[in-house]
Amino acid sequence: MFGLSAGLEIARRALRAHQLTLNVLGGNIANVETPGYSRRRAELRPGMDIQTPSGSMGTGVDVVGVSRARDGILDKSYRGHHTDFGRWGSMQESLSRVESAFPADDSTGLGPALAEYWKSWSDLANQPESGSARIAVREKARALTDTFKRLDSHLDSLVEDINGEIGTGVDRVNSIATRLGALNAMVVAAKSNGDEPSGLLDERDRLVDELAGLANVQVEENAAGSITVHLGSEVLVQGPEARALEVADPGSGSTAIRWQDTKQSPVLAGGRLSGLLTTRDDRIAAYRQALDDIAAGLIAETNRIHAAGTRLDGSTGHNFFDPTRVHAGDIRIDAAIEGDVNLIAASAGGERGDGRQALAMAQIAGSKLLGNGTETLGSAYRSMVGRIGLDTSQAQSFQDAQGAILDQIDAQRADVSGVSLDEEMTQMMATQHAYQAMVRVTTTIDQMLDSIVRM
Amino acid sequence: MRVTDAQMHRSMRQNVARALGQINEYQQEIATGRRFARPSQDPSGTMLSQKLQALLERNAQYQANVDDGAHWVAATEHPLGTVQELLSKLKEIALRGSDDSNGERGTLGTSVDQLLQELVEQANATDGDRYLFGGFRSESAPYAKSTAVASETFRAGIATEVDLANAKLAAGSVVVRSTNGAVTYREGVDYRIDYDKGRIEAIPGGAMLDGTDYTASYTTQTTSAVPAQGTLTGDILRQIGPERTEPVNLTGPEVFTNGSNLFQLAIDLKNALWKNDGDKVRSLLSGIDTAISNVGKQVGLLGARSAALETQSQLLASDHLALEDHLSQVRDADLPETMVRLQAQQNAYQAALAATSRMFQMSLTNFLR
Repeated sequence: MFGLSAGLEIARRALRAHQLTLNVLGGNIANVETPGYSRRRAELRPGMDIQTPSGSMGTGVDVVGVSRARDGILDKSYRGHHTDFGRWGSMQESLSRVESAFPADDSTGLGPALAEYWKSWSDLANQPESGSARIAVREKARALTDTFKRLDSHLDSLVEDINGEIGTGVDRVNSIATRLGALNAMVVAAKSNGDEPSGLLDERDRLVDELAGLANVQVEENAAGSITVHLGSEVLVQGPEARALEVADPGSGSTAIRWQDTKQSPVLAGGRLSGLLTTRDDRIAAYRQALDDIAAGLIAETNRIHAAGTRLDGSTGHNFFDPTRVHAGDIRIDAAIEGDVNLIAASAGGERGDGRQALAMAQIAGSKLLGNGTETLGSAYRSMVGRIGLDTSQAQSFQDAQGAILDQIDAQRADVSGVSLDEEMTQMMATQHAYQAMVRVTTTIDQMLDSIVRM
Repeated sequence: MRVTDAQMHRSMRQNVARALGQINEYQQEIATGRRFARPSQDPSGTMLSQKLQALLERNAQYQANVDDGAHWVAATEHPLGTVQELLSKLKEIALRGSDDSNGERGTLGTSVDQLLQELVEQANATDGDRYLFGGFRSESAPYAKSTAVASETFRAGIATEVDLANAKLAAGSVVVRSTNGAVTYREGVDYRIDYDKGRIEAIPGGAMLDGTDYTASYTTQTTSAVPAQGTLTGDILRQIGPERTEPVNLTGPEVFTNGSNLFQLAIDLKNALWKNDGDKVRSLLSGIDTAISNVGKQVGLLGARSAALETQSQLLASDHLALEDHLSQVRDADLPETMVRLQAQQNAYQAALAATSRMFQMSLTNFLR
């Protein structure tokens, strides 16, 4: 039996299908600027034919579901590059903060402080009798030690900042992992009911994208719709279960990242966390070492020459810098000289007019004390600044390169998943027309039924 | 390829931000006049410019040292010139005194004494509060005048006048003792003194024996010795180049007691004149000539140093210019070029903004009712 009421049934299903399509379009338009949103499509299918005596008849249109436009290969590629981008990006951020204490046009750094210090010794050599020249030496030495301390504490505070950021990053990894476990459970449950949980999937993909920026993760999806996330070679999330990272010895000079359960350190080869660790343990540690080497070289050589010099009272063998403090962070002038500038041994023989030792002191400027006799104190500092510049520009250019690749992949992802308003509008008009036509069909059937009833 | 709205907006934002960032960089370059502000913008340029800055500072220090040294040399040249004049006067007096046809040796002796005072004054010349000829002992006068003769040995002659080293002794100041100091002799009983000529004779019948050595101690009316006060040595050095130090001072011994002792020459000359001893006066002439030639050598040495410092100063000045020039090339922004680039970038920025605003106007929604 295939009558007019069957036509009404076709109309009903068609109107429902078009309404649903319009809803999906509306959803797409609403999310036109939402990051991580994947374009949805109402999947329409012709209704199953029915065999009637007059042949097979269509039953209109069926909605089989709402599909999600997503390309897993692009996601994988995006995440790989996001890991690199995160690493170089965090290095670039930290290093440019390092760099801010070492401006290219150096008027406040160690270079001028050293130059002024040598100059004060040279002036004392010219005027060994002058009390004011002695005071100038002490003042310039103070300024020099202050500069060492300032640069060292700048690096120190950056290490603290980085430790803080590592803590924040670890917290974020943990909260993402926990959320991914929960999402896995919800996705599997929804899929077992035959639904396509697009919202959950979008959320999960967005979190994995973010996680990839923090650490080097690999993601596999199983048939049930659950994903397994590996951090390095170890499992971070599997099914509903998530492991957690922790920061060891928070507050101490150098914090480490490890698994909460095994207390082993994960292999971090990419992402923000590895960038932070590399910056702290490799780059900044090297700068601090270089600064310490310069301070130690200065202290040792100054004390050697000062000890060979003679004070005005004829005694020899005294230090100029405190020999128990040999780091950039704690360098200071010997307490005796701090108290009385006449204890500076400017002479070789003890006469007031003899400035030979002060002259020898000024000549340290040209002594190649560091790098196995290849670097003066000044050139070692310049090499250090050059290295900071090189490291920063390297991080910058890698970040730029990865950023460009990410943009490109993002464009490709948008090609697949993004919402185009024009497209949605066109689709909307088509849907609208189909709907209007279907209403006309309904009216026509209605009139026909009416005619029959009035018969 | 599908172009989606979010993607389009994003790339528009990026383009505008990039253009603005570039403008900011050019603006900074123009405002600071430097090609780079952070080491990462040009690591090798940073290292080079800081090295050149350090070299410039060092150059300035060498220049200051050269100037200071040149000042020392000039300050030394002045008293040395005066010493040369005094020496030629001394020689003139010695020549006149070697022939006493005018009977003016007494007056000449007094003139020599005045010359001696001036010589000592020059030997104690200062530059500010530093004594020029004291070597490392620069804070106290290197030479002092003395009128005391602590002990002078002479061989006594009975009723024969024997010369003491000095003339014009202070009246009543002479004390004569035996060489071991055990016996003191009495004036007028054991010996007689000619205080003005500085001559002593033993009185016959007194306690002193003929041909025996005695010691006399006395003071003189005028300067009889100019002892050096301590060790007057030490080259005062100035660092005038990376590997070059130059001594800038002359010490007292180099000028005043080098070969012949200038002060002693003058003292001997005045005594010889006062004692009217023509042979002695003539014998001193060669010593004076030696002294004149020595001081002449020292003046020549100072002249050579002065010239060397002047040459070094010019070298440093030309190095300074070359360094400045190099530094400017490495570090300074090329303003006209940067301005042109800034203008171009501004145009690009405005174009990006215009394109963005057009793009936002374009949408199918505008055509649907």
